[in-house]
Amino acid sequence: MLVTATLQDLETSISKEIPDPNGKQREQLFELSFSKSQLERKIANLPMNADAKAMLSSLAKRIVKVGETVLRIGQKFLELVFRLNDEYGHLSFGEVICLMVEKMFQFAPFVGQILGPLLLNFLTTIGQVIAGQGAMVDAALQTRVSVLLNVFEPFRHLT
Amino acid sequence: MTVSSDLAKVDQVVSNDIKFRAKLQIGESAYGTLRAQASAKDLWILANSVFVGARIASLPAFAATGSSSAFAWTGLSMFAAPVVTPILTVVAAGVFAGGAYYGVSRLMREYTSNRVDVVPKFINTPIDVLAVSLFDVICPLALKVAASDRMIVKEERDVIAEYFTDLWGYDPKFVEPAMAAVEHHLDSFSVQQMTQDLRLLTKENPDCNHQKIRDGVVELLSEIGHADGVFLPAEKQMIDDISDGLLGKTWAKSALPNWMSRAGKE
Repeated sequence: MLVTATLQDLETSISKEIPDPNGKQREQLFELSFSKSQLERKIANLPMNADAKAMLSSLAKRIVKVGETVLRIGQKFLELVFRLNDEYGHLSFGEVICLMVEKMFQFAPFVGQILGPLLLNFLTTIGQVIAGQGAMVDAALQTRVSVLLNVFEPFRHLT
Repeated sequence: MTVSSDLAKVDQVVSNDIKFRAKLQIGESAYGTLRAQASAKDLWILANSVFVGARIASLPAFAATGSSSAFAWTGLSMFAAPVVTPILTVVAAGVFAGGAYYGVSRLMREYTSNRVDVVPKFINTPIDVLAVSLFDVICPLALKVAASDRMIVKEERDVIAEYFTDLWGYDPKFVEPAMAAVEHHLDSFSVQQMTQDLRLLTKENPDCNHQKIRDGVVELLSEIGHADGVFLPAEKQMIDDISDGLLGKTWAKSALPNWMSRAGKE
């Protein structure tokens, strides 16, 4: 199955072949927890500056075409971040996103390639850097991050 | 059903966030990057204006007319070189051109903001937090004015509720119980304190246009004063005091009867 991502800000398009995702994988990948307006509301209520919020909103609009189906990959990633942030309330949104980004680059480099430029800009704006936070958190949290990122399993072997 | 249990069921504070963001009237200054960009652009054009002004002043044609006429009345023109403008005149012309540009650009900006509302897509403060903070200071003030004749009538409540829901985009499901909660504790609010809090909040928070919010609140208070068909001198006095307090003027506490400055329902 062909996966195509058009990155308008970088004026480039990436196409890769992946094995057809099975039923469960498709469900996990395409099912969204929030409507667009619900996600915008969650972003609007984050304690960070307006520039950073606007970047997250752009990230949420990032899509890829998986076969003939459009996957809102940016929103999917943000939903995972919000879920982890809700579960681990003592971590800031920036810390959570650092953990997720770091793990995602290892787990699914293809997804990192699509979301990376926007995410790294966002992290710079909020003054966060990826500095091996993954190794410093407890094992339970590391496992939880891996479990959440499993939704991107179909892209796992893509680089 | 208690007021607090009604409030506990509230899902959202603002139901129309576009209205809310528009009402803050901060335009694109919500974004640090755009603010920096605008300042850099202003500085660049200002510097160019100063340079062009100075350049024109130093032209021989200007020197021939400008400098001689400028010095003629002093009787010193005979000492001035015929085609060289004195350096002070060049500097003055540059400063004048820069000043004129700055004044005109400010006027143009004000003129534009009066005709077009720029609504930022996001603000810096979490939107629900800012909404609750503003409600917490505006609502008691509004209810105090409504209660200044010792009775809050339905028309006054309607004006206040519509102000929050129709103008600011608050969720009616929040406004109704929240207003009831504020009214329940109205005796504990001081008009002076609330006025100072509102002034501080809107002046310190970069997501608030203090002047526009202040004008809007004073307009609301006047509307409440007229809502029951009778505009009492006591109501006018309280509105004037709040208006002055929002402007940062000294609080004329002595003008208010004690029962009015402390309580709404006695």
